[in-house]
Amino acid sequence: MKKFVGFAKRNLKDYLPILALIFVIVLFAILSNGQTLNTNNIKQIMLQSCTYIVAGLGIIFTMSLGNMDMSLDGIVCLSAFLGLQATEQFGPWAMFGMIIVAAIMCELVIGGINILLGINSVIVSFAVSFFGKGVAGYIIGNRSTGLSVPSVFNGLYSKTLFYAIAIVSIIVLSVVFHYTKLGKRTMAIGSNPTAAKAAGINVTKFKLLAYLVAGIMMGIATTMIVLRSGAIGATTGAGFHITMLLMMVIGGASLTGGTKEKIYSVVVGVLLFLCLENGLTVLGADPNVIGLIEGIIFLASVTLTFDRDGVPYIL
Amino acid sequence: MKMKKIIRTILAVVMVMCMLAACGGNKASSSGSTASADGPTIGVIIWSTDDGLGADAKTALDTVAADLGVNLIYRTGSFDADSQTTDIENLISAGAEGILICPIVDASNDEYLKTCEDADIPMQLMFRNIVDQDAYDYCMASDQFAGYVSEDEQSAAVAMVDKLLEEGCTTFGLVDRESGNAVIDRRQTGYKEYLDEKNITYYETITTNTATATEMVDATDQLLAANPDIDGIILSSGSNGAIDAIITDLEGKDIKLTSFDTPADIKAGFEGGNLCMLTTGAQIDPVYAMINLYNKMNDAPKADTPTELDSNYIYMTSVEDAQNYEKCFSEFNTYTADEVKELVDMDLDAFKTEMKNYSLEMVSEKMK
Repeated sequence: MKKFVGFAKRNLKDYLPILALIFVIVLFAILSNGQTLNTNNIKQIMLQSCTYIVAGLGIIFTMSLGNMDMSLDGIVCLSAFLGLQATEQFGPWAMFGMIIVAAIMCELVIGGINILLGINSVIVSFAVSFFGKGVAGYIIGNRSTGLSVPSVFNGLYSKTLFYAIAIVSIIVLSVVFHYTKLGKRTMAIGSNPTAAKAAGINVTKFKLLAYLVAGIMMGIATTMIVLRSGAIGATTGAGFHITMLLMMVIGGASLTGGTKEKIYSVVVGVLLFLCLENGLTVLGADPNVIGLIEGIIFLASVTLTFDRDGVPYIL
Repeated sequence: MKMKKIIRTILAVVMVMCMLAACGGNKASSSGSTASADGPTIGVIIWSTDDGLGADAKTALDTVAADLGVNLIYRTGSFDADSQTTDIENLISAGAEGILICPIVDASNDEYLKTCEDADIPMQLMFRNIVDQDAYDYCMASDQFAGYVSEDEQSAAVAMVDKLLEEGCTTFGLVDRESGNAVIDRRQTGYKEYLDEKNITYYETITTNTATATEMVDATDQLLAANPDIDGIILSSGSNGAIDAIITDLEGKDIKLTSFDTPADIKAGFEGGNLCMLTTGAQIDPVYAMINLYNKMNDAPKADTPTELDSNYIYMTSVEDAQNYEKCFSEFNTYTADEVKELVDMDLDAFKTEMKNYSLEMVSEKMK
């Protein structure tokens, strides 16, 4: 019994998001008389989660460096715009390549400026966000026609494809993050860059590789957003960075990076957020109340899970 | 250390209490309607229910929903197509048997409809028509598309230019939004074409569709600073508090303003002296849209094909108009419960005729 209590005390913080997810699922199932456990509803939540999981699996790499990425809305907007614009010049298949290349370039710019100039990643990522939204918004604003996904890809938005992409991404990125040099060294840099450098880790190289992974995953996520929306506008991606950050934090991802990051926190955070939003909608909660609850949960999650040891200078 | 533990505990308790409190509400009370719990449910997706037009639209919808015994569930604050698709999916999960939506991305209307088709429920647009040809063709051919209701934006835009000319304005400043929003595009095209036709000088600033009131004021100030000869401003969308903020910003300046949408205090807006015309009253649009959707949900559609309906604007040009408007529209008084039921029973032609009658004078007359 003593052993169990000791184990629970040591690991409660790690498993709190999973317990919260179970609590939310059970709570809403009871309150909605099982409506939230309806097969179709579960399928919808799984479908909605795919895009966020794919994006989050990339962002966890930059978060493990201790770098927050506030550029996601701009990256989605700019890469989606460039991708669909490319279809007009180079044909429909150019969409995929252009979206992924644009997302990678955005992430590498953030990583590059952060490393070379030593500017805080939050500031750089905000700048990239404004740049992306600004460029896309300006050009879309001056177009006389909308930008739609080429009709040849109409069949691509399917549950099966989205599930497959999400599952493959989870498997591949879990291995890369937890069992390869890239993941381990990224976390080591996040824990203590000076010690990592002293230990012979090429900090610049692994930081850039982390941003490269984030870029690839953001490119795939943007492609999924574009396929799901069928068209884009200047508001595409609006709020994506905030939602993603909220999901990561309530899933238990550490804002300070380091070895405490876990891939499962992405999946748990996304599902927790979506189950909460879905459950409150099913129960007919006022939309403003949903926003209020999301805000309180965000604050509570940060307070409960924030790793103070990683940032002794804050408190 | 003890204090930190206390704060953490309090936050955890607040979090759980908030969730439980929110979960305690039922569908009828959450929408503010008094509709029957047994009635059909409509999911409403709108930009906001807090700004002038959004709040008026919600008041009107809640009143008519109560008259019809319909439950409403609202989703707000989604400003891209992906989020609106998620809203539709969640509302379907919540038991919505029809979707009433003000779409953000015009070309995504067909994708929204596909989500509804998969769930075998109808969809109706409010405040918007469909400009994108592919989306239009898809929607108009669908059995699940009830139709759209929109306003004659171009005529309204022309009327706003004429009002500024009547006020003696010679150089115009256009505070516009980026393209992609079908309604706002038509407003902007309407007044720009008319200004070109009249050979009137104008300068334009373009803001995003999600610009805050502060950003709109900044854009207006920059436009005026760059072009000090501007003496008349047209605001193509005053939503999310933009109109209120710009009225305040222009106080004391010799510049006239015309705008779409409604400020929180209309009378004070006109008393300030800058505002000379408001194009508003569009809160009736979702009422007609909901009735059309209600007909479709009850297998009694007003037409065999999706309906394309025009709803009137109300024009206000004076403090008296504002007082009259506030008296008429502080609550939803346009139709009584019996009249709402008559609207449901009307055929398409009679319904269209009734929609054409909507005006400030009509509502004032009814209130007597």
